[in-house]
Amino acid sequence: MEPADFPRVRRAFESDYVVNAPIGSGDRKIASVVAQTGLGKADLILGRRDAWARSAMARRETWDHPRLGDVWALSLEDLILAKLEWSEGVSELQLRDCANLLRTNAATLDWSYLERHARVLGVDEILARLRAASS
Amino acid sequence: MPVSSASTRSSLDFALRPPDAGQLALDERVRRSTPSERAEFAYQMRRQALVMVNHAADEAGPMSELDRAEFILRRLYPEFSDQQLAFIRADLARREAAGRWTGFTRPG
Repeated sequence: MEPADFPRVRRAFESDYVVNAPIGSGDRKIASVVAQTGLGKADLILGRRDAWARSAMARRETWDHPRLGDVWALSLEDLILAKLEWSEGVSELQLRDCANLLRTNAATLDWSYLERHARVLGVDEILARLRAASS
Repeated sequence: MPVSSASTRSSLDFALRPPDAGQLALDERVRRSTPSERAEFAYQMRRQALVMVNHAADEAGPMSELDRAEFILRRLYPEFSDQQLAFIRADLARREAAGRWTGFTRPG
């Protein structure tokens, strides 16, 4: 989302949610919205405009969620790239998620897309090792 | 934030370990499910996690609602940074002082 939209999001949610102010800098700002009940959290990525982010938005898919209704969802390839980048190579949880996703979807993934963007994001070596382990 | 090669190697090594029987069973269940079934499963797992974490908070003994909230958030959302948790705690403290928050709802 655009950083300029954040105040509007804050106003819309803050009566029922804790709205964390953005942290980070440049195109790596992240905010979050946490339900006051404790169950439910959403991360908000602000102002990201690099080639992969634009591509991920273009490839997102609509889905009729059984509880939430119509939602947008990242493609599987973009979810893996996001997790690899988010892990910064050290989040065991994210890396293990990636390993599981690669293993269970190896036959249908768009590997050329994954590898192209992984190179730009600097996660290509980790992707290659996870791919080798999943095959 | 700089990351040591040792940290990267150990985390990746962990992720590269062969899946155990439980993970393989979960993979198979996910593979057989429709997207809607997976969404419902994920929701039920989140509910279960909330119940377990609340139980752990009860077991930990008496604490303020703010401490309890932080205890729960740290376990439900381990990806939160200390900075984010501090912000949430301060926000909840303001709401509590204004009488607009009395603690996270206990799961029924």
